[in-house]
Amino acid sequence: MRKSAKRVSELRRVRNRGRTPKHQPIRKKPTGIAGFDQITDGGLPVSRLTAVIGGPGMGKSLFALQFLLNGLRTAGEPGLFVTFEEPVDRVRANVAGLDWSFDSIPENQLALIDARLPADTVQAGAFDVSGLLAALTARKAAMGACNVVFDGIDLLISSLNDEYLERRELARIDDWIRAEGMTAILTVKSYSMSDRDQKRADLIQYLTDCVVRLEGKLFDANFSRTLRVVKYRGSNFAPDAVPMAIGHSGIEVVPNQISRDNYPVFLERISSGVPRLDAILDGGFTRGSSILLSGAPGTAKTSLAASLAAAGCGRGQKAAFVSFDESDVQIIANMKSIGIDLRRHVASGRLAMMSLRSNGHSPEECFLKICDLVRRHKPDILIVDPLSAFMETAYPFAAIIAESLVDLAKSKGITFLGTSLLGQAAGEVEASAIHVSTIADTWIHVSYVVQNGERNRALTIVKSRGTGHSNQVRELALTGKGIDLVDVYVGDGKVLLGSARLEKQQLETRDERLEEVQRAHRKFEFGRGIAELQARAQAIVQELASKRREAQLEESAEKVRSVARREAITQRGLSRRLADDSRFHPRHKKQRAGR
Amino acid sequence: MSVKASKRARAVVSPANSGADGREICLKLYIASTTPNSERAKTNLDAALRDFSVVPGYRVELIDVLADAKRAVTDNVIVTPTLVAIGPKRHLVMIGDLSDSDKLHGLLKAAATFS
Repeated sequence: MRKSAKRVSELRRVRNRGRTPKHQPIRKKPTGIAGFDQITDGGLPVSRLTAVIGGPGMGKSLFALQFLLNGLRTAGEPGLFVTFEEPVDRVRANVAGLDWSFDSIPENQLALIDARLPADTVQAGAFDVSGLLAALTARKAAMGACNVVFDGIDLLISSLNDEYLERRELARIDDWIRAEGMTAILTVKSYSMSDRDQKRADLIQYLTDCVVRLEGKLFDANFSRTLRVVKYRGSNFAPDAVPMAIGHSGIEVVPNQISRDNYPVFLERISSGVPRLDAILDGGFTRGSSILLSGAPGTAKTSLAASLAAAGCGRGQKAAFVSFDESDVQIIANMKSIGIDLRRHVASGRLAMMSLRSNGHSPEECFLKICDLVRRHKPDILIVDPLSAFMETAYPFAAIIAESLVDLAKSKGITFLGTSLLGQAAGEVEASAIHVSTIADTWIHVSYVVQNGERNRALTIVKSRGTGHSNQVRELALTGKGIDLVDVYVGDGKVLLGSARLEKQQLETRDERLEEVQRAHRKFEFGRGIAELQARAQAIVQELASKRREAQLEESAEKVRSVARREAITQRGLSRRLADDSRFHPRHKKQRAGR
Repeated sequence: MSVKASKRARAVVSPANSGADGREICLKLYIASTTPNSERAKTNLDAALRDFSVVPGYRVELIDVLADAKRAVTDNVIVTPTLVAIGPKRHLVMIGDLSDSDKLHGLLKAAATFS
């Protein structure tokens, strides 16, 4: 009991040494790993201890070295790298394959310190790391070092073989770091052989202010690296595992925080290189927008993409063409056959082409290569053909990476065109096939239409944000002069393309001619009928006139007759009076009897 | 500072004590002032040298790395206490408070065979 009380008091004494009661807001120091600095909102905590935990080959030492190097390069801060596991020359050799090294850095700027015990060292009892800390204090004073890395310290302290003693030494290091105002990284192996390995890892996690975990996992045969900030005292951080890659310049992290704001917005339209396509897009693609071009194999996706690139270069813009599994030479040759000259633009330096292999590289590695290309070439147009090369792998971050790529282009005002290989599934099934379709501003789909033993390409604009566009299907024709869109034949409830369309069009022309002749014939017939009728009408009118005349004559004759009759009656009256006068006049009697 | 340390060295450990045949072993003990481990190491080494008959003669240099940090750098001291037996061809290194007397005796025996 007394022994344990003594130990606790010693521990407390060691812990409290160098502590300042002041509580200052946490300051941060960038690591130079852009994605990491983004997810931690500034980097590692200044004058604090950070643990980098991971299995073998996960890049713990590399992470730490990059941090030291960045401090030296950007802030002129000298650093100490204390290696407990590897000899100094091997540390140098490990970074020899990268695009930076220590060879040009003088020892008084970045000191690599071999803290390995001689191989045949015998341990007899408990020890402490005061010797090392004293040596480091001396070096710090001489160099003005600000940053320190303890690489693989678990190897040393595990030989203490006592949990309490290990804890005490870790506390001693922690105190030293705080007292000296050093920003420190402790790298710790995560694979645990025994319970105590696990306890040590746990202890280090509690002791440190920031814990970064580097992990790797196989998905089918694909190895995916991730980085995760497990804790960060006094600071916000993104706690998700983010994809990480080890490339030419070391560790790179792809943060999956996509801002989706502050994108530059353009109203300007840029030509797709196909005038008819520009026309149905109401003037072309919007500059800085993202375009998804989907379709089955061989539906001229690459040709349309190359057309956009060539048109851009022709206007004096810069374009970058990233292709998967197809070499630059192959693409240039293929495009030449349809009248698109890419070689000229490559020669002028406007077009940068990059071929990547989709298998064997994680999407994040490809992404970082594309980032690098964008940084170097500063293109106005970025083409990734096919973007779906990312998607077809079993890597867990494929969709996020594809989205990041679109985001990268948008944030820089680059017009982005990604092609996507889709099967023959038609219509709305395609909508869910690719995640990127939701963030693409314009989605063009090219499908095959098989009719009468012929395959033809039909182009549809599925969507186009913020621009008017035709919703009709067009036939896409590839000729030696380039790409063209042809109006398709729509009728009889069918869409006809290719020779079926031509045949139908010819048939229609013949029918039209026939119709014309028939129309002329009918017109003639009508004319004749009308003339006949007109003649008949004339005759009738004449007949009518003559009848009228006859009637008039008849009428006048009647009048004459009636006058004559009246006269006769009058005559008769006169005669009767005469008869009255001579009653028995014989002539008068005869007349009355005759009536 | 180094003078002070070497003074202390003479005060703690018996001065050079050459054996009959003139052979002696050279020992360096790196300590961190008066930390418990360092104090124990000094005591344990002292006792071993006094008791151990095989040692023909010995010379002990006591180096306090907290007082002489430059020495810690040049001699690449990693842990304290560290005991180094200097041989003509190779050095024997022992770390810890030397509380394991069997191991310490083993080291001294091995150092005595240096010629």
